[in-house]
Amino acid sequence: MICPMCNSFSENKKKCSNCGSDISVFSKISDISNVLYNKGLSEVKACDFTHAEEALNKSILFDKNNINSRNVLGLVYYETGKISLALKQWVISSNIRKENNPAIEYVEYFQKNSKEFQNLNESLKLYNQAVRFASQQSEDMAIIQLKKAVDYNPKFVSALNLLSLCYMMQNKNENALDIIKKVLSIDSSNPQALLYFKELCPDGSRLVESIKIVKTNKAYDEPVKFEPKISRKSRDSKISKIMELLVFVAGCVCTAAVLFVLVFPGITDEKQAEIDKINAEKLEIQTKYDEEKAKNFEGKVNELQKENETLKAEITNYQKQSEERDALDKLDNASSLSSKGNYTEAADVISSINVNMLNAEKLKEYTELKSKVYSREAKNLSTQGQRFFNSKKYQEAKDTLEKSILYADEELTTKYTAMYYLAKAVKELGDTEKAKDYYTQVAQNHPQSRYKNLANREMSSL
Amino acid sequence: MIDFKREIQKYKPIMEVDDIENSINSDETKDMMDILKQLLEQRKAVNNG
Repeated sequence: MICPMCNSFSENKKKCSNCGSDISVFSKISDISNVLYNKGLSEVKACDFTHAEEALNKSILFDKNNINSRNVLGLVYYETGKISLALKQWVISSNIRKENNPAIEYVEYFQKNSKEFQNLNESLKLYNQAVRFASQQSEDMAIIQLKKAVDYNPKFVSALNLLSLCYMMQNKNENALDIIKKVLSIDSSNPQALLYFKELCPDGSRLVESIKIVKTNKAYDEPVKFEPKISRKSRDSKISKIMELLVFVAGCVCTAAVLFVLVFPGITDEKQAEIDKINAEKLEIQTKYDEEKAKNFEGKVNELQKENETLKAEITNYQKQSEERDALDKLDNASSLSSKGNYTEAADVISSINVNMLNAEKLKEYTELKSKVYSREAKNLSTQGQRFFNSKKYQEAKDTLEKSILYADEELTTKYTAMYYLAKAVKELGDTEKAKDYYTQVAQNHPQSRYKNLANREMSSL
Repeated sequence: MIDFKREIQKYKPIMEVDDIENSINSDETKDMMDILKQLLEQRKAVNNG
């Protein structure tokens, strides 16, 4: 046995061969634990789970490392629907011994069969809800939850007992009795079930009948199989299933190889030819599309160019019309100014008229107006320039006389008289060369000999 | 005659699967082996002391 003092194995059950401690009492405790385990096991075989649970729990209280007790206690819990308590025992057991321990298989079984595991856990949740409802005296709600719990786990003894009690509280004794029989067929000495049975059948007549039912139940004549669906038969069937799977996979691989070697190359060539054909068609369509696109583009450009030219012509036309209107307006304005005697402004307006925009009739009108206005304005400016000169305002005289010469284009007397005084003003401003040039023109072109002589005289004095 | 109210009180909620881990971790159950071991260690300490 394992010495509890030094945790080493000792063949001697009275004194530890390693640390020398007296382990005889430990040995006796271990024996008691095993005796209780055997008792529990025999009660399990008699389907007396209630007393088996008591014995096995006591066994664990003597030796908590007794994995046999824990494993069987877990099975008892499982058989009575308490999956969480069962798992707890198996997990602890599998932690105590990690090899050659059936508890490991039990835990793995539930890890693989998650749906069954969820159903069992759901039944626990429903039972706990029912307990709360029952304690709040809501038997109806409790019955609903308990029926669901029993649907998920038909061997759930606690749920069945509570369900029968709820039925009894509602005076549904027949229903309660059916449930009680079911409980006793699972756990033959269940104290709650027996109590309720006694309550419903005080004379015990129906108890005999019930026991007969229980006795005819095959489960009580044969040893109870506790391993939860992990049997040799199931293992063999698993192996055969794996073999079937391997054969199937091998068949798949062979088929795939044949397909790759014989069938796929032909299919591939055919598909490649189709792809090439489709690509050629695609290229042809693309070329046609590009050509059409280019044609359309060229046509569009030509169309836009024409449109552009039309618009330009329209703009030019509008500009011409605008200029014509402007020239006519100015001509009207100048005529109006002239008729009011305002020759200075009329001359400015006339000088800004674009004669190219006037038709023949308007051009004639323009020429007549211009001749009249310019002649008058030239004379006015010449007179004004002479005044400026006489007042010794030579610069003003120069500007005014230059303007007079410009307007007196065909009025030679006015023009050269103005030029004579312009020469004098320029001379006074110090530009002798310019003055000489003006005097020369006056001496040669002035219609009156008096101005010619004066010009020659002035020239000689220079 | 069963006292139903008292009978109902006998039924307690059962631990659910989600609580297994906590239950195992917090389980400090002492068995007879532990108690005996403790007694022996105490006696040993007294004899040595």
